[in-house]
Amino acid sequence: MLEMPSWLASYLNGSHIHDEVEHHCGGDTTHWDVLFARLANLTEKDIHLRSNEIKRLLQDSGVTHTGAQSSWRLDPMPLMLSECDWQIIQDGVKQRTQLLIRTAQDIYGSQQLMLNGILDARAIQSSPLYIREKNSFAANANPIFIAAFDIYRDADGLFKVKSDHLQSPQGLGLLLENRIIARRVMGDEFAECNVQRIANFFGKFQQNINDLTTGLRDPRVVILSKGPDDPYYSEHAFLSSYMGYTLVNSADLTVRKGKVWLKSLKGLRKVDVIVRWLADNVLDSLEQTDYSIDGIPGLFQAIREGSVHIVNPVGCGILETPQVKSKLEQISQYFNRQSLILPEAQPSPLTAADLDNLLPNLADYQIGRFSQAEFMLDGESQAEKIMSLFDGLTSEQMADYYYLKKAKYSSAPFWDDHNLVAQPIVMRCFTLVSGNNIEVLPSALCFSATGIKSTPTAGWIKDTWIRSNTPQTSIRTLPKLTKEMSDLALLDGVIPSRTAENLYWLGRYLERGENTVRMLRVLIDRFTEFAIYPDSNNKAIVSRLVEAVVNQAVVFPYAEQNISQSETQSYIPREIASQLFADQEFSGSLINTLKALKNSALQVRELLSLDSWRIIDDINDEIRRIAKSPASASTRVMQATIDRIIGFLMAFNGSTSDSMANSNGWFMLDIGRRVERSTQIASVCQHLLGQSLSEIEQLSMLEAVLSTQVSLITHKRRYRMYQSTETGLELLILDGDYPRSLLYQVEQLAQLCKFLPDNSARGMLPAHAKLLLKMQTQCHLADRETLALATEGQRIELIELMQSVKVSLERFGDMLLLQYFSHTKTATPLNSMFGSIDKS
Amino acid sequence: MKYTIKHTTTYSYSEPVNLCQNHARLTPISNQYQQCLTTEIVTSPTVDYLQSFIDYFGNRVSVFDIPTQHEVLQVTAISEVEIYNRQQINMLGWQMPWESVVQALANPITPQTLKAAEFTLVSAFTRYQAEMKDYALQSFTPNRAIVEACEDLMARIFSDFQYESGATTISTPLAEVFASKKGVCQDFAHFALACLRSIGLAGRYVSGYIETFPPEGQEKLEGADATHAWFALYVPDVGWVDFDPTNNVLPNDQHITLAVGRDFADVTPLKGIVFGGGMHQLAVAVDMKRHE
Repeated sequence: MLEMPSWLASYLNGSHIHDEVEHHCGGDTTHWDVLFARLANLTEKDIHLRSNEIKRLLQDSGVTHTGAQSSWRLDPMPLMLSECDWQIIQDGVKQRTQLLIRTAQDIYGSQQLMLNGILDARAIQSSPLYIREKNSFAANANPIFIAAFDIYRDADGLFKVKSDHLQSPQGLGLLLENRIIARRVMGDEFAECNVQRIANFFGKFQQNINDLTTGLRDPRVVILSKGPDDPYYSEHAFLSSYMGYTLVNSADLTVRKGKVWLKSLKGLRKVDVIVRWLADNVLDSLEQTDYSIDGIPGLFQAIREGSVHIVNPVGCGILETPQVKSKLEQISQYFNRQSLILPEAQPSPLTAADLDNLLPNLADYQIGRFSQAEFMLDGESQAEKIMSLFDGLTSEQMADYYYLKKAKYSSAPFWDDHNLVAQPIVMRCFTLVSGNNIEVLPSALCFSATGIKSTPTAGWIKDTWIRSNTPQTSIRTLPKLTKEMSDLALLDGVIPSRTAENLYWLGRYLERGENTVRMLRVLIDRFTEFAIYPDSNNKAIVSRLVEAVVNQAVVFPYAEQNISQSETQSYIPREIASQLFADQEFSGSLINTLKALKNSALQVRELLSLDSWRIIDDINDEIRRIAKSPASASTRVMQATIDRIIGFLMAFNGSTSDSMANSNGWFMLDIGRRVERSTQIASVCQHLLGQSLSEIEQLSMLEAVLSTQVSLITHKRRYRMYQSTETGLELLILDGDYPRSLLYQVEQLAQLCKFLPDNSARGMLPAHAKLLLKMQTQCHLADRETLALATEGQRIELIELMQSVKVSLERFGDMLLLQYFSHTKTATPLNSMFGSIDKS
Repeated sequence: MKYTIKHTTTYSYSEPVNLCQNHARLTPISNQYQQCLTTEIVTSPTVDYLQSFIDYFGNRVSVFDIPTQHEVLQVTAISEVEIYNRQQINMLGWQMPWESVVQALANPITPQTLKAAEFTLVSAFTRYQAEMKDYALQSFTPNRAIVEACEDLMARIFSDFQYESGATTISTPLAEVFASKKGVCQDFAHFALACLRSIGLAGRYVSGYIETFPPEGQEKLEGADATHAWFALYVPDVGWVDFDPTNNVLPNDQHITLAVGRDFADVTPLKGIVFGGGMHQLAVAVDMKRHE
């Protein structure tokens, strides 16, 4: 035996009652020994570094970023399974998959299991997952396409099944991503241990999908997810870009004339296969009894017509219910005269007589309900809940409840930043079905299973390595993370309208964030300068800026407010700056803009490259920091934060601009950005330059305005001899060659709009193009002298032009929404339930 | 006996509807008591897609899309139905004690009983309470012949409950109907089903039409007939026996069955999803013509 480093030795020498590294499979632990022999070279610091490296990679990949739930944490140490253990699991899940297929065919077919009393007819027929609508579908589809099983090793060393996942077998993307990361960080160990490869499984997945659509030219496959609210959304996004399928939620799909269509920017596109990550009973909000916002009205009719394949097929949910699960052993005997290779703990129906025996040992049991698969109370942590539940039960109600002795999961070592700690584990295994062939993924998603959701180790996961005695020659190798290179993603160039809309808003928020930061900078610069040079000129500028910010005239929502000098006196500039920085009640505040930015980025998650996504993650960190910062944060802290934020925003722009391909909708982002920037230029010019001031004040104000537009230096260079409001307006509004001028933005918009599908009649300008032409012409025809001319202190021409431009921009935005995104709105149910029986 | 039935449903919307997708159960079912000879669904505006399928309970469902912008939608179903006289042949089955039927349904061993057993389960509109079971047991006394007991239940509902249009809506809970003893045919059918199911018998909801006659000396008005609802009881070896608690009769040649299900939710005549539309109003007109 090798000399082990202390971090490893202390675990191996610890007393673990039921641990994976110890004596299972007849005491043979050679599969661990190879790993330990490699790890023996690593110091505690090495393993710590690896653990941190994994954290970084996982975070970058975005899988941890689920918004809703606590994030995943991948352990540097894999779970090792011997070939002999694996053989049992593999045979077991194959047998189980086969049996589940047979059972589903029977439940939705000749119902022998119910007629022979093996399944309780009453229980099946009253389950919400017994899908009666399936009765009118063609029966030829295989009831299962992919299945997942949670497996543990019981105290007696036997592998058992904890649960089945068929409606949405989550975790596949997570497993794949774990493997990619584990291989990168633990590459040497991986090679040494001769681990079985998993790439073939994913190849097979795509192959099986292709087999469904044989004979179709250019079939379209979509992955249907609930959207960013789903805790597994990042995984769906990951799988979609890995497999090259479009990620959609139900609002992106519509059924017309018995076919399913993707609502895309270019119109409707037919969908041939839906890989769904949604439950059976919420799929069709027209046909199924319970109206669900996640449903696609008419989907079942499309299935009935055979125009779309859905995987997993509708109806497999019934197999997950306790009334079927608890009878699988009998079903196996009935169909095959075989015992289950992987048995499961048998639930016992609750009776009054059991109750007395149960109560003293409650901590060893779980309480479940036959009619609700998800219902589960833990006898230890939820004892009080159980007691109060039992109090109110009639013996009739009691029949719906069952009790289950808690399993004793085996444990495995996890690195907790200081030591290796033993955590109980469950393995999720996956199988694929095509025809009579069942493929088992030679790995598993291993996760810590404490049974209690809120423990700190919830979400701890491991890659599972299955040793092979034969050398691994995989034809397919795992590709690099596909998005490491670029923001491409939509391979077929069809972009859902919802995605296009989100890109548009992402563009607007990016630009809005930048504008807000620059406005904040100028404001802070000016009032800190005033503190040093308290002259009246400075004071006037500061109060004008403060006024414009308070009235939200120069920040979102760019209100039309008349500046009245008198009221400004009462504002404290530092407080206003802090409001613009962190006040969530202030609609145009930086924190609100960044939050909106993050949300729209999340909606187009699958389009973003790793690099871009990392920046969004950084911005998210800043949001949290700003939210926590005290209202009295020092200007220095504010400045440091906005410096970082502008850095991130610029980096994001750089990261996306490299990979923008207009064919997949990135031009929408640019349109959003230009619309926002134009609105901002017009607002700033109108509100800060609309009044004529004394010469010295005027120059100072012009300088402030030019700073917010990042044009101060250009202006100085270009108009070295004579700088005035005229020259400022010329640069900011009229110069069509200057990339930060209003006219330039409008001309860019006109160019970008050429990418939009044109629905107008031949030879006619579409309405949005007319608006752009109007703005272009107005800018071209204006001249700087007229704009700068003041009547009674007001630059009427300038104010009117800017107001008109803003109205046009707003209408332009509305028109885009109406013309290109309007079919993203949702439907409402209608039925004749009310008043249809008016007399009898 | 042959009838032609015209069933017109009109939706009026406060705002234009751009697209609607619908399911209609407006084609009379064909079974041992009646045959639907011809059927047709006409809509205004016209459909661009119309297909039909047979649902789990044997009803024909028409699926259609209306893609034209509209503020009023009219769906008219015209069917020709032949009704056969219901011969009361299997008197033996009628005599079966109700408890043995409960027994058979609790452990179904034939496909027929398995199908029927589904109708012993509680459904959204037929939630029963202990008082309803007590009410049922007053008719279903020990060892009583099943059909006779059910006729008694029907007669009691007829005399205990008052027919009052507008006293209830579809969302009125059954407990409230039972307390007030007021309702319409739909409530009576749901109540009877709750009673039957509370004691383990299988009952199904029947929607349909009943022929009405104008007051003496007046001409029959177009659209004056009505949609109706009653219930059926499962009797082994006989099948489904209909009971109309609103009129206290065993339906014969004046009742036409439209659709059957566990309760009203399974037989909704017209349901849909609309894009746009705002608020809506609904009007239903039925016209039944007896062929001379």
